[in-house]
Amino acid sequence: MGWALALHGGAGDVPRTLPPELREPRLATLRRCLDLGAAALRDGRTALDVVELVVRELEDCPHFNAGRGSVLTAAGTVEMEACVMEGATLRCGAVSGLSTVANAVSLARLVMERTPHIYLAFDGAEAFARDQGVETKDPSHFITEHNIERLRQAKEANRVQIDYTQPLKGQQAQKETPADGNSQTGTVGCVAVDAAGNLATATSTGGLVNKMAGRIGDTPVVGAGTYANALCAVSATGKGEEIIRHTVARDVAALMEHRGLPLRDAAKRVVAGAPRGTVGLVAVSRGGEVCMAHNTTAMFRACATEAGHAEVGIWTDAGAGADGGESVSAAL
Amino acid sequence: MARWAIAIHGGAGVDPNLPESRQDEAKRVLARCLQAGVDMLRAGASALDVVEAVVRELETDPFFNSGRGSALTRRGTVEMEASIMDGRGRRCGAVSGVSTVKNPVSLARRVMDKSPHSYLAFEGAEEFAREQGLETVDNSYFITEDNVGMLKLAKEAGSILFDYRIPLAGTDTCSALAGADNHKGMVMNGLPISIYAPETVGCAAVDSSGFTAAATSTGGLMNKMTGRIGDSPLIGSGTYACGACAVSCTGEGEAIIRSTLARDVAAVMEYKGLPLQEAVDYCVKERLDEGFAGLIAVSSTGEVAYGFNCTGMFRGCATEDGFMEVGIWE
Repeated sequence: MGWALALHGGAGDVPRTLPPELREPRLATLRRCLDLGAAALRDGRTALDVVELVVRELEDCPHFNAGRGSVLTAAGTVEMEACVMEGATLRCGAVSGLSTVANAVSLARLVMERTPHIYLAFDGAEAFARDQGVETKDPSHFITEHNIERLRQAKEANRVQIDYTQPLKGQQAQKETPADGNSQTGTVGCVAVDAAGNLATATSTGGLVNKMAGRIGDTPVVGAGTYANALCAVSATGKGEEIIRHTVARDVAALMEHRGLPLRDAAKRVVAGAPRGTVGLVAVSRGGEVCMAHNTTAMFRACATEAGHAEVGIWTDAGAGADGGESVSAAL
Repeated sequence: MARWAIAIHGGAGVDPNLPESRQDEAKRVLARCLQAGVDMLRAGASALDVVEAVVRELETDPFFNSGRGSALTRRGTVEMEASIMDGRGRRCGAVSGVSTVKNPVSLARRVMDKSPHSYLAFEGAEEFAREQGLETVDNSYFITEDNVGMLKLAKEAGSILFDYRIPLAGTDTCSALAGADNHKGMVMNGLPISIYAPETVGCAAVDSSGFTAAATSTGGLMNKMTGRIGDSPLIGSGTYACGACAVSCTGEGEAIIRSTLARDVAAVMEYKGLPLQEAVDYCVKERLDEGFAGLIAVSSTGEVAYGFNCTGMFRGCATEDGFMEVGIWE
């Protein structure tokens, strides 16, 4: 038992040659957010408060694909989405299609706490944000030079970056590495269990580079990118369409609930069941176990437990299991 | 050769005082749409084509809350949503915030078949519909006089804006009063049951090759906030299909989402090894917290099942061995 938390900044096939200027700021943010979350848990904050707090920080960091730093749609705009869920009560809130809200995760929490609904999107979500008086920004706040360049490259390559299921006519199935090696990554998420055993999860994203306007990914879909119940809390990242069809986050919980698997085995099985290179997740159990599993070459990730285990990483060392990267720690 | 089977629904949570004439009309529509699906399955159509065609029929008929006849938002507009899932390969497509597409379920199928994404919403979904050349109509086409009246009543009832988990003073909730004489206080989704428009539609089918599919379509909640997304378009919540079964849910969307109800039926079959009807019963009993909902399901081996924990569900089902049923109450 004891508190634990894990966070991610996206999973994907990131080359180890990722230049330091793209690597270091992310590692630094992961460390800072881990410390922030751990300190809040030590102070007795609830898991729900902690995941919101941590994801807000990750959203504010321009190096991840959420909040400021969100990738751009085909129209050059940002459309952000987020979800939050509390394990004990199964309460949840989600938002999609945000273009001015500084912290999408906090609006998701307000949907959960102040509306009879779970999920608000686009104009209705923006109107609700104004009703609630949350901080909004000019859309230009979210758009970074780096993402303008990414979109330009994606368009130049004339490829719908995520069209991995059905190659466009006349094209080979493309498994190419995007120009900067990590365009597909950067969704952020956090899971936590507090000292009282409460579980919570939150995920936030700008979606995919060059996505069609109106596209919704796995992040705000309860059970796909985000899920928590009385047994565990999960936040997933990767190729949204795969995560949706595999109901990844819910399936980790379902394997624990219906099959009696421990967290680690449940997470490994779900990640192994999705096509290679598509899914990563972080999860914590009620008992304070932490699991960070991915079948991509990399996942920006960090975790800490009350028992003193802490780690921050991107790639997985050679020699990891055949089912891709996986790192697990159990607080004893 | 597997055996085909089909189940359809037109919503869960039915006003026990629904006039006989309305009940008869509901059954007529259900029987007609069910028969259309049965004919297609007999002729060898795929489950995927069948669920799309049957849901199109249900959308087009103004009786139910989907397509024409959709419930209205607070602003008096229609915002429809739908999803479809092919158990073969677990492919899926979904749409939300659709305001001019005549048959949202077909747009969901186009998202699945013709876009790199699984889910499109609002303007982006409308734009994609135009690109794809789907039939569109003016928003007023979907708005029926009945629903304009219902929206007025819903606004007068002042509900939905408040937490519907808290029963209105002096009232009780749906199932607690099922069968009682006085249903006036019954509340579902924050609305008095007499105003509540439960009639989300859905279809689950398995074809004679053993492939499953499910589709769900809805106008959502009467008097909902603009932009509200319910369970119907959410894969794993309102709709799910895989190698084991296909499921379509209806009822209080938020309860269905929290329990990822459709996926859970499949997960209970896969991970607990329960047969279809037991999985349905388990999920209705154990997985729905304080919410009211119902679902229909078929297994890949040709069984049909349904379950609900509130007053009635408009439903119909048929199997290859000649069983056919259309019903509302328990």
